[in-house]
Amino acid sequence: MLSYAEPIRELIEQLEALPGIGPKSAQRLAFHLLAAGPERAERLARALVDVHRRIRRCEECGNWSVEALCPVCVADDRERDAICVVADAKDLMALERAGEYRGLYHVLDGLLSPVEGVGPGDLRITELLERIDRLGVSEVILATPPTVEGDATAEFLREVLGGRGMRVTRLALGLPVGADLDYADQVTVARALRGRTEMTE
Amino acid sequence: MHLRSLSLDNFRCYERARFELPPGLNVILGPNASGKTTLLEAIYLLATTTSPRTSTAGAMIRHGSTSARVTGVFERDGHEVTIRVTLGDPSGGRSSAKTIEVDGREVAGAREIIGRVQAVLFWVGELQVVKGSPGDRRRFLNAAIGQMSARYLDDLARYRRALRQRNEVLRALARGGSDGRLLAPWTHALVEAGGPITVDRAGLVEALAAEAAPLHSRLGAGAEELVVRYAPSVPLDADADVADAFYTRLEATHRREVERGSTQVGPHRDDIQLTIDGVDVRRFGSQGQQRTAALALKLAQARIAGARTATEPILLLDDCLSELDADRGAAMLDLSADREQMIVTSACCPGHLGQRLADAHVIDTTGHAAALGGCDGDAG
Repeated sequence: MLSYAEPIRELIEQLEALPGIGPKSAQRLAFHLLAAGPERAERLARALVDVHRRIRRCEECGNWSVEALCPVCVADDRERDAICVVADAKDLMALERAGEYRGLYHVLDGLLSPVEGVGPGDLRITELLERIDRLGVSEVILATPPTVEGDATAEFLREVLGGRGMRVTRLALGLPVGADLDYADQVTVARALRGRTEMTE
Repeated sequence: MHLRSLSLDNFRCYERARFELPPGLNVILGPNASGKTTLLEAIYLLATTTSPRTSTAGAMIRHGSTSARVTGVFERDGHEVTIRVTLGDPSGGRSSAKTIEVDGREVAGAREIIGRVQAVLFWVGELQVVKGSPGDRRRFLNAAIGQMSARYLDDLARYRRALRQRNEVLRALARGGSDGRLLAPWTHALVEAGGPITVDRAGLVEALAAEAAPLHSRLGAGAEELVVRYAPSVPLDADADVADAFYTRLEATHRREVERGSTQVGPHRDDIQLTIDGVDVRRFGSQGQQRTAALALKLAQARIAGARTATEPILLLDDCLSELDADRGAAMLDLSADREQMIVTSACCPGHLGQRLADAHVIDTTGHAAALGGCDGDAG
């Protein structure tokens, strides 16, 4: 059987190893890049190399950053008595886009998952505790995702943070804003009911 | 609710076929291996997004084709809903792909179908509910409750995930490579998902017990009394919180779970006890008693689903009208006469059922299925 020339095969293999890319998509992308010409390919290659050369972890919160400290950590208008704990930098950006939160962040760099061999030592928990003590924060917001692993990680952190005397909160689960109850799926409605809150004055 | 039309493209032995189905009784007639059960399978697939026969999407694709498609137009309270399931990839990609569309819009999965369309199927595999392992009975409970509650399916998925993670920590504890603090968050996750599962199952089994007993005696069992009882791994007590009970049981079995490297109590260890006049049907019931008990459970499930969701399920009954089962078949048709739609298969014209089938709509599968080697051959 005829197969692709070796360089094409190598490109397809490399693309296929990326998350969310199956054999079909890898093939399509490879031929697109081939047809787009060398300039396009060089721009892409340069971006790939650049991102590794120029981006590093923020020494404080673990966010990806060009400088030693990320823009959130150097900003002088952020409140320094609250830390919002997220699983990864993507989630940090999602919270930033909401524009509501003015405190600091801490990137855990993953979630507990014994099955995948991820334990507390693989997450940036020691760094978190050190920052909490150093900054003397009054609130830690656990913003891990509402998955089994996200909940368990939050539960673990709640236990670890217990006794330190600050407020520990978890992001609320609930109905999409502005939508009719009618349109929310059953699971969302059921979990919103479980997590219902007291109405106070 | 009822199914108005069913179209199949490259689904098992059907290259291309379309059937119109009126409300009421539909009888699918045809010789063995002519694709009768396949029609029920297709309808069940539309209602639940899963097949009762296989967990591999590719197995339902006609030999020599890269994808299969099943389309059903359902009617409920005068509203029409079209559900389409595409298996495999028309352009030759993954044969395990499964796409679900509701009224032409692609949806994420079973969650979106639940509450819109309901079907309850009785086929030969259903005997496992009586004869099989506790796992078979849990599967029955999961399918029955899952069809009524997306929240239950979510809890179930979370429970399984938490269980896997927790067992991994237990194995590490046994090796001395972990500490108890690491177990706690997974215990919490397990209880949080497992508690509601136990409560939901208890509620369903209670309803099943009440519905199934009278159905069972009307199915020809006469004075024999069918008793259905939930045997939960975490005992439910009206005075105690299920979460507390779960924690207590986990603590009590902690030494054993570490030794064995697996969680010893929880919904994954549940069972249902079925007895007829006090005798365990699973072990000591005759073939006929087991069949009647299984059928009673299924009919009870259909009634409960209809009452709880206000969507009367379509009853799908595979091969229940055979000559051997004359009395039971007749009783079953009488019991289900008030259902909105019932679709049954039969290998021959069941003359012994006479008048009961006079008004039935007959679908003849002869000539529809373009199979070379037959259609029902891979039913196992």
